[in-house]
Amino acid sequence: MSHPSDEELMRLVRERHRPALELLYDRYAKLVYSSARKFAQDEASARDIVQAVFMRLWTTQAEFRSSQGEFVNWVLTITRNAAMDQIRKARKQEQAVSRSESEARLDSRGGSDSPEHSPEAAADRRFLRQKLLEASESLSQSQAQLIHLVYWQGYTLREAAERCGEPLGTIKNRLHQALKILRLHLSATQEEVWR
Amino acid sequence: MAMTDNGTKANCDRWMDALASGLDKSDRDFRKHLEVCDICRREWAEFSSVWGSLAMEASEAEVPEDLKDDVMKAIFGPSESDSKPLRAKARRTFPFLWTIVAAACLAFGLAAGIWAEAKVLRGEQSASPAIVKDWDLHSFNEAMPDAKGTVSLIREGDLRRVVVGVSGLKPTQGEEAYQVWLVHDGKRYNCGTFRVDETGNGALVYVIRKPNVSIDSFGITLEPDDRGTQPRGQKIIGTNPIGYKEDKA
Repeated sequence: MSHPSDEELMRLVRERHRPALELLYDRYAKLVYSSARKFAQDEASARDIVQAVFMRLWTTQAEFRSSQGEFVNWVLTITRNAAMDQIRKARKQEQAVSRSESEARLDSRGGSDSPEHSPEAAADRRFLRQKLLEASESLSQSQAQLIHLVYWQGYTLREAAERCGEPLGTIKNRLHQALKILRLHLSATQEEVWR
Repeated sequence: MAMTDNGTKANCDRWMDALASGLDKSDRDFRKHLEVCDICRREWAEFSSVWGSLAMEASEAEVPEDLKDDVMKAIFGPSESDSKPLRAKARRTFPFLWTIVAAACLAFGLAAGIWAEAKVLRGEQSASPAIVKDWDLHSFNEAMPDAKGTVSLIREGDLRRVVVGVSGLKPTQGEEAYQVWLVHDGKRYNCGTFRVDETGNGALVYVIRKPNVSIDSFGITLEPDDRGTQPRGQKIIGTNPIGYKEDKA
């Protein structure tokens, strides 16, 4: 077992084998940290998120067993959930944050958040990201805004409907449409990247 | 509202709430719902990866160098064994003799037979694996002073699993491989070979089908290839034979 799969590492992690967790950290820290920076927008909170993610990987009893692409997905879901916990806690503590509508649009240049300086970036992740950005160009402004509200800012569908001043049903349809458009653009890409 | 045959809503959008709130199949209620709801199962299969991959839209950020330490300290506490290799001490107390005499080879051959043919006793399987023993591995090689690792002996019913994790090893060249040796009653047994990745980390799991195995120590050598049955190369890391940690069982 000279190059363990993510699944094998998780099995070792469940057997309380610390080096396996450290190997997973080496593999996924950049991805987790980069997403955490966009969710949290400041370094200290992003670091807390990373810590929460690897703590969760260490302590989870869930047995991970699936095809290659889904492990990344699982780690990103954990990352988002850790970010959501943080966001919701902060939201309860302060006044309602009103972000301007223009911020809510997916930034296709990726310039308003963390600097993108990493020569060692995995080429296939860059490729996937590029495809994602292209895909989001196909979204309408209201679709992009909705994705940002729900995915990045952690509002529930009901809360998003209230913020947009629209019926819940409309919001759900809009999200469904947005997902279909993204899926269309990414379907071929995913098979290439996660084979 | 229209119902499908199995009683779920014909336009069920529970899958969408699940995506928004971050549920996945690890949530029991949602998993059970997916089993009975065709719509949610289909939509989930269709959209959960896309949704998950939205995270990659984030620009790549440079991970702070000190973050790994902070994270590991938070999870494991400050490290108790700051594994500075006790090379000088080890050489005095544990002379490194890789000269295998003929008698030992014969014994190895016999013993290998015992290992291979030991029956797996049927009997009570313990409910979950438990770590029985732990060893730290220290560097025995000046070319790799930061080499270190751990070995855990894990009980799983009547099996024993030897789990080895190492770091700080140099990548191998050509056919070279690292080989793990277990010392039992003064004799060395082959636990298998592995290679490391570009960060110098590696892992290996070896199953022993004998519940009451007594292990004196471990050593890892750098071998010219992965086909050896006795050590030919240099010892890189190993355990200190005195003072492995208390039984955890």
